[in-house]
Amino acid sequence: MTCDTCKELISDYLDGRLHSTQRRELEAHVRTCPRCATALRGVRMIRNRLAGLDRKHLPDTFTFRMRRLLLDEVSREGSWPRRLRETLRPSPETTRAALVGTVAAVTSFIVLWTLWGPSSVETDRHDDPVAAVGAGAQAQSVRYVLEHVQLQGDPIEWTASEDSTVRSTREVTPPVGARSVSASF
Amino acid sequence: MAGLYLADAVLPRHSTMVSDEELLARSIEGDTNAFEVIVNRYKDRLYSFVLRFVGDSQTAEDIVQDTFLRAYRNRGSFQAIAKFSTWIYTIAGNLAKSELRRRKRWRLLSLGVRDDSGSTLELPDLGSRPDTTTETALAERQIEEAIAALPERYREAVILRDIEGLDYDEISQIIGCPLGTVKSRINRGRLRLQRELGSLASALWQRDRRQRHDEHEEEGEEGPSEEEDHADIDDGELGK
Repeated sequence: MTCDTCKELISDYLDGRLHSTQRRELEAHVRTCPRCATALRGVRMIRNRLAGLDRKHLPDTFTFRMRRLLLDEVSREGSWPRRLRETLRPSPETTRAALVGTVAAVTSFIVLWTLWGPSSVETDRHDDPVAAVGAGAQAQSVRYVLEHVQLQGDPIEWTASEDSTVRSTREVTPPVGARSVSASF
Repeated sequence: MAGLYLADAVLPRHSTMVSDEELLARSIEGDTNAFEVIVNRYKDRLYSFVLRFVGDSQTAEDIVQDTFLRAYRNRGSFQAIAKFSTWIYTIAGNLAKSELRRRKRWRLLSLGVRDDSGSTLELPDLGSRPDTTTETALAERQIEEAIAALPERYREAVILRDIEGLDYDEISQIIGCPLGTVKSRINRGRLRLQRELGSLASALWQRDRRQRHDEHEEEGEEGPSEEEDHADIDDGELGK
């Protein structure tokens, strides 16, 4: 062990933080090196003296001053502007929850838009008999159906029954050229 | 809301047994008395640390007062994952370092000289402790001066470890440095003190050696052999 290494390890040795191998090496070095022995002795002495130094004490007036200051703090915390600010200020948990909720809402919107947005509806149009009726029709809406699909038969009758189903005798007659569409309600 | 009482008798008898974290939790619920117990527990410890760190009694007192006020205002943000002592020492240390940075900018720091505010560095008053010998008081004065002369980063580490008795992990959190850095600063601080106080350290060692001889003679025992005297390597003081 060199003197430089020994000096780097002196504090660890005195604090009992060296493992046994390093400890033995240091002790062996110190036995043969007067300078390191002096350094070790000196550091130990200083360390012990520092531990024995008296604690400094604050004057008694400090305690009374702190009491007054804490009372002022209590009054300040109880004032209505501060209470209002505290009430309106969201807690970290609320802020986190709002952030998570916002991210979830945006993600859901993106997913739903991808699945059922205008571009996805375009691909389903050809399977829809109502959409097939009018070439170039941009949207399937109830209005479009009412304009293009002729309804024949009796109006819908409300028939009260045990299962309360609505029965109608109407039959939807598709316009000429369209695929047969029949809808029974 | 609970008010502040002048008499400590209204404090619970077992207040010393209540943990700092429990007292802080009570103060969050509105028990200002509980926070006052914390103030009484830590005021002298923090003052000792800050005074030796900044070297000025009035400034140290202001910093300790500021520390408690900040701790009270932010008591709701204390995370129980750390010890309360670590937290409050960190606040005090940061305020002290801010003060030292401010002084560097204004170049006010000077050992043993009255600054513009009229305060002086707090060094042991030789006449204030009649129970100690002048020799001891002189030695302590020299040690305090040597501590004040240490570079700031070594001074803080040595005070927290050797005077305040905090462990390495806690010091690492307070200072905000890795454990290896803390160990290095403590070691280098001690070595600097040993060099600065070289003759004093030898004199103290010689005096302690004489005392050990005297004690052995009084007890009718043979004094320690020269080998035992030089056995500083392992004299049972490890870990103290």
